[in-house]
Amino acid sequence: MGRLIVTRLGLMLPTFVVMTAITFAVAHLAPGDPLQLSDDGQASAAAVDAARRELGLDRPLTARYVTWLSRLVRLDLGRSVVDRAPVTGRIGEALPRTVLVSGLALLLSVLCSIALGAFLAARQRSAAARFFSGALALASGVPSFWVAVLALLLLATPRGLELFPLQGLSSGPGAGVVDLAWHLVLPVFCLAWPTTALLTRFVREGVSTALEQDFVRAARARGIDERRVLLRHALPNAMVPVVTVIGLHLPHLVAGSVVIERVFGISGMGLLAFEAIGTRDYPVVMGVATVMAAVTLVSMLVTDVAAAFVDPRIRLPGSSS
Amino acid sequence: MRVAVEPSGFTRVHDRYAEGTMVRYTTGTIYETLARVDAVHPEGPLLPWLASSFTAGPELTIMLRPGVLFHDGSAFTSADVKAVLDAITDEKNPTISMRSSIGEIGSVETPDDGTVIVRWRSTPTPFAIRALLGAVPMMPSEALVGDFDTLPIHRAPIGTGPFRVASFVAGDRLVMERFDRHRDGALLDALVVRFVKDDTVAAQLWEKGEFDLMTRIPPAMWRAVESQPWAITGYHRLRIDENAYGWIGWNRQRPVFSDVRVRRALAMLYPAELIAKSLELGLESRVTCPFLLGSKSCDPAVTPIAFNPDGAMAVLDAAGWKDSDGDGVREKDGVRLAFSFLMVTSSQRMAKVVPLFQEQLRRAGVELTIEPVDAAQSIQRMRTHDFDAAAMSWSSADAVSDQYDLFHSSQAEGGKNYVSLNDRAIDGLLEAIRGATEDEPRQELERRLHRALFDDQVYLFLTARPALDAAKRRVHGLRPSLAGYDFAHVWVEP
Amino acid sequence: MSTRAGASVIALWLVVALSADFIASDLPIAVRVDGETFVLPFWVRPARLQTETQVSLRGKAEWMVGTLIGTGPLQTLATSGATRTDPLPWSPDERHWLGTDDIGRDVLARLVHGARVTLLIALGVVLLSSLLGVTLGALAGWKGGVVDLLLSRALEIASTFPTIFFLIVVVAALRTPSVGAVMLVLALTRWPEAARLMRAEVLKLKEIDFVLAARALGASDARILVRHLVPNALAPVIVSSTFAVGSAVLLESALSFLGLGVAPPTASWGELLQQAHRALVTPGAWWLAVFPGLAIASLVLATQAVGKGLERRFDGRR
Repeated sequence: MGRLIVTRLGLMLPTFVVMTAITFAVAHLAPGDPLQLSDDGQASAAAVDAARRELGLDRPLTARYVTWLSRLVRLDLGRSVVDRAPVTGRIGEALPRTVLVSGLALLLSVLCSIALGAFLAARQRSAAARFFSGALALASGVPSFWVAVLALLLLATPRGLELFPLQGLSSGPGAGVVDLAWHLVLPVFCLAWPTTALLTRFVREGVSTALEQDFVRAARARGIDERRVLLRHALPNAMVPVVTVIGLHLPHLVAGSVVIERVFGISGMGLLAFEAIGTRDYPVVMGVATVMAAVTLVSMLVTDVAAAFVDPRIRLPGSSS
Repeated sequence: MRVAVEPSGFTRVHDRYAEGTMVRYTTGTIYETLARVDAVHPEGPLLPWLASSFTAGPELTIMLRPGVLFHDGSAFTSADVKAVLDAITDEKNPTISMRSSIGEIGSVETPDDGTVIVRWRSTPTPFAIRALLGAVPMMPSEALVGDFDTLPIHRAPIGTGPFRVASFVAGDRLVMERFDRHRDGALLDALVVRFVKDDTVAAQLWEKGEFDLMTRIPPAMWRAVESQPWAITGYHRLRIDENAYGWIGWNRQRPVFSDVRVRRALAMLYPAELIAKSLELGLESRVTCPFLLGSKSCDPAVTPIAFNPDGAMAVLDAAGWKDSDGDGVREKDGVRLAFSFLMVTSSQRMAKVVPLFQEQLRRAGVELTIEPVDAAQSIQRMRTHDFDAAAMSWSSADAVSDQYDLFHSSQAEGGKNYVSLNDRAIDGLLEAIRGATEDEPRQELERRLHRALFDDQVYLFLTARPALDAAKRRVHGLRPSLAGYDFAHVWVEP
Repeated sequence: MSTRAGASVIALWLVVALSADFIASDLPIAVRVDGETFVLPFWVRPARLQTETQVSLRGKAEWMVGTLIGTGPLQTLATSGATRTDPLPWSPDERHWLGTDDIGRDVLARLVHGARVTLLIALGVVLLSSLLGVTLGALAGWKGGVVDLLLSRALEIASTFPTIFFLIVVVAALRTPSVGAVMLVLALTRWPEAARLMRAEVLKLKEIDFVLAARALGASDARILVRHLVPNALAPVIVSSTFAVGSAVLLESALSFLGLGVAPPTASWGELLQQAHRALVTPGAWWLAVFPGLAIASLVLATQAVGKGLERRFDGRR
């Protein structure tokens, strides 16, 4: 396993460079210019050119990428072209929000999917199982923003039940944890919904495959009760794909869901990226891309290592005796 | 007290933060200018504000009002005026927008703390003087020291206005509290501006009762709430007729649009009444004039071109545009009467207007292809004249406005003459207007300009857009005017 | 949903998409007016009917075979013969069975024509991404070595990097989101899955008897790959492609929701749902949200059912 980690780490740097270079190139391909956005700016062509020179926007793409990379080495992500605020500050504001919302959503969907998946695998024929699998199929069939809009309409607007707040994560300065939790309910639920549907399928398949395997049959034959068989033997066996999926999900957790963030007005990473691209705010776009690329690489590493840990082939000899 | 407005920067001087008329809700209450637009007679001369008096002429002598304090407690003096003007005129600073509107300043002298003398390199236009007095916010000189681009004052403003900033959360809210040492004082203790970009969301929050003042209500909602008891009993509505209008521009570099008869026919195919009825809901008036609707600068004899598809087809036939190959689109000399329309995807209004227009054009044998682009791309392509037709709107916080950079042929490159209008007579009028120092002759010239622009059909002029606001019944003292609300005189019943 | 039901739903939508013009159109299927007969005028677009619609022809035609829905997807209140005066959007009535949007376009007509665009995009995405994925996956599996290493690496990154961020950047880089562009962009996000499956399958089959036999008989690499390996390794790709049709429909709707979808005034299901979000402003316009949502859900669920059915079938064969 040591070798695995070393190879992975060695490959990380070139991969990171390639990933950010592609994002850099594609982002700059977009027609438009951060300096020409305001209609009120009666900027003369000469003045705009001067400003472009100052920001280095007139230099060739490769040169600009190299400059960007050399600044990054010094941990300098630059300043936003739009409001001149440091990019790290903008990300520092957005990232915690996104991680909070997506993290809770991921936690919720992991817990739900393990419980549901095990239940569905163990009681395949029961009415409740049918209901849940039907509901999950339906969940994966509708767009999450549609659910979000309907949820807002029914549960948050004056026309509906007005149970939850409409927007954002806080009712104002100085609001407490209860207020935050109250704001989090709908976005977390809407974000967790599709992930739960996906993960449950993996867990159910894993558990039902495991339930048919010899070591489980052997455990049963030894008279260990069903619940124990399920929890101690079958479930850990089904965790490998789940861990992989969670690992692959980490970057999305950081990227946030631009759609959900937009509906609920949460200024997280998704919305930050979306708006930065809209205003051609290249430093911010690249800042977000950097964070995402880094998390992507780390999560790939973590997934590999974690999979090796959870892999039943390594653990089972000890635990099944 | 809450206001739903779009976010903006805080230093209007900075190019990035010049955000049009919406600044009046944020910076408008924090900063003050030397003079201000008369709320009753917006076309008339400016009223002194931070200045006690000023004498116009080739050089501008400004006497400052004594005893004015900044929010940080320091006194407002002529040195501050000079510092602000210096920052604007410094070529290195991103202040191009403000710099070009106040003209080329030669020197700023401060003989004493209470007097400022501004001299221009050449005779200033009336618009430059008006901009200098009425649009430049006054900031303390110490706050302008350092790298202009990253000054803290952009995020934490210090002005002389009746309210000062208590806290600011980007994308969420701006909390302002009364500045107790303001010379005239204010009635409200605090003012909270909530930034809600999305109309839909703002509407829901409004219905929940979260705003004392709801701004920028879409026409559809304005009408929809007329039948809602909560809105009728709880709110009074405010309508401000702003100096703002929408237009569709035809790029004159394209052969399709070179003939005035084509431009005229296109205007006849614009289903204005249908759009007024179904989208604007009768709240907007059609314009023909780039100046404030109903002002002395517009010729009242000019009437909009009426929707008349048969007439349009006759005009096109007469101009030689006929569908001879039977593909449903007219052509002339091998040029098809087809063009693309640059549509900003975030514009909900254009998402409705353009398909309605497109349908009428198609029936008349004109092909309009919608090209959806984001705002950044749209502006760049208009500046580089890389478009056929596009819609936009102009707005001005003042009733008196300069049209030079919109229509003068020299402004096609680098200015805002996106449609590449190149007309000698119009150029001459624009130059004459800039040279007119008296109001009456200037307005006469402006009326002639109005007629010339309309005859040319440089734009398909759409409608003047009023600002539709609503305030809770307990809010008093909100007086709609072109100059915006004067929040110093607003009070709220407990 | 059973496999059979799923297949029927997909078939139904395909039929609707293909015959959209016959279901809802501004011009009739056939008409005789002023002594002249026009057949399929919505395709031919005769000059004589340039300013006509089914509504305007109703009075003057000698006879007319109209479409089920009397208005086309682009016909607004200006030409749809609207008589209602209440504010738009209009709720369902006998003229507009599923109501109208905020410029008076018939929701059902747009749904029917939207099916065409949405299905075209979804199928195009799956086809494109499968083609790319199968080629690259087979290559990686077959060649091994450095090729495999590089491709697997690219694959891992492409499947881990946040899709939506990538989509937003790419869409901004395009001048205009046409149907083809949206298809291409979405295909870029799905190919790694097809490639991964293909690579695994090829690796498995590489060592199996018939491949070794073919090789022993002196068949070229390309021939073995194209004639023997790929056809036998396709099963998992086909299964995943079926599921992918559903995800492509969902992704298209998300793109449209962000205003990055197909150019207006073209109708697609995602574009219809995007309008539904605005329906919050005009409270109670539920028909804008409910019907496109149901259409999407029915198609996605159907593809999932069929995918599951195929999965069982291929598993059984093995």
